[in-house]
Amino acid sequence: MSDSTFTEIQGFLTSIEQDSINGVLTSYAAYHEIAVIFDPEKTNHGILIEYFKSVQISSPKIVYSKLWVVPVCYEANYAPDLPNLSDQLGMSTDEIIHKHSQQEYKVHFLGFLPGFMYLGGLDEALHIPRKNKPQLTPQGSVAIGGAQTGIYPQESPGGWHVIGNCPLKFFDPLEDPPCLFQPGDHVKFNPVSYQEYKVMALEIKLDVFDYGQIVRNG
Amino acid sequence: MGKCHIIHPGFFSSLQDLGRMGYQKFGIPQSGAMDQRSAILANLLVHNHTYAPVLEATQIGPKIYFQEQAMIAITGADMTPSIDGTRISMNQRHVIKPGQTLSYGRLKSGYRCYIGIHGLSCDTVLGSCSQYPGITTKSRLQKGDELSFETWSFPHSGTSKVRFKHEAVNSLTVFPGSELDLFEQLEIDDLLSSELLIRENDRMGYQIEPPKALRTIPSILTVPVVPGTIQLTPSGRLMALMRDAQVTGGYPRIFQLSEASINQLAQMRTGEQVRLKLQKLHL
Repeated sequence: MSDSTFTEIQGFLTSIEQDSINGVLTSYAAYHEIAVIFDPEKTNHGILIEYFKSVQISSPKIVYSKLWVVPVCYEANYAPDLPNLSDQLGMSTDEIIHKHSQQEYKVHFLGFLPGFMYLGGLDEALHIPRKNKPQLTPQGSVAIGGAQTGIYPQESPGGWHVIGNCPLKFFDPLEDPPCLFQPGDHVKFNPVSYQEYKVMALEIKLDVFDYGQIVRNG
Repeated sequence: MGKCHIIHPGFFSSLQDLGRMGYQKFGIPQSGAMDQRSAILANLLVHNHTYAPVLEATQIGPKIYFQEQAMIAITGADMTPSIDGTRISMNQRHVIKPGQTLSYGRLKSGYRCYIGIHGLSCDTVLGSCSQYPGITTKSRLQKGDELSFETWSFPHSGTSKVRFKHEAVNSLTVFPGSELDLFEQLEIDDLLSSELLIRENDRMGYQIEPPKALRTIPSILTVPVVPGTIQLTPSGRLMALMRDAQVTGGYPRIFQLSEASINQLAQMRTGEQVRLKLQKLHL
């Protein structure tokens, strides 16, 4: 997806929010489409279509320039599908890890699961069809499916290939906003050892982890 | 505050209101009562707001012990409810006395039943009581759960009753989905003239099987979806998304159920047959 589409989508969402149109309950986006949910007792398709035609697309409110350097442990315990992926792609596991962790990915939107990021920018060499049968995928799993990569915020059935695990707690329904990452942010995966992962996981569990250390404002 | 205890949750029961609005942008589903018409009715019968929480039971109802006096009403599927073994009628308010137990028997009609309790109060997360994995502490009602409500201190329930029969329907109204035009007209005509079979279903969605699997399935980018969106999955089956559906999806959106049809579908179960009636939107 192009950057201009992303900017236009975010600008459109910002306009809808700022114009606070009577009857509109909420709006949200995917790559190239926006959903607008409205109360049919307060407005209707006709009124909204007229509005959409006339809308002045604002400059997006969301222009976060945050870069999150997200720790990922790619070691065997957390990467059940890495050997298989290495066979299928004809690439060493180190090469896969290198290609996966050198890229900066853009957060396009959140969907699939609460807090699940749709990231753009996966190296084409890592594109691979999803598994035939979805499997139970643990919380924090960093995985590849099709032309996409992402982190599972919670345990869930999923068809993506798991190549690592991220210890961060980035989704919490009791926080405002509930997700650390927002559309427009960038994410880079930072390979950490099993020992480093364990230390971070403990700090996160005890609520003493400094999230400042993983954010760079570009 | 009065209290009641879940002795047995039934097959699958959860607390639901009209759902969570405004958090879809974080990937959080709308949730809410599957059959919102019945949920609203249950609340109105017991003098609650329409958006108050209710208990939603699926297929087999729960067994609930009331420690204090409560006013309740049961709507939706008829699961032959009784208080201390005495059958009670649907769609009517009842006073349940301290020490009495609400229980259920055989499922006679529909699939999901709603229990409205006067003054039922539950914790809200992101503006809603609706239970959902990863959002609320518990994702469903469990044995031993305790619920609080305003004690009903008047002796009589009155005779308030609504004539509201859960009518079995065999046709659901759908509007054209965003990708409908990408399908072959002949296949769509075929689909609309066939009896479709309801397969596996839960709060996320209903799998619906046409007699002949559709052959041509366009592939699309991930797009927004809403409750009531009907997707065509790679197996050639339809997937009607329901209240707990995810907010985006990667399968083509062939139809969109009307709001009333979502409520009707929520009362149908595996093995039943259904037809789709396409209604054009006049914009």
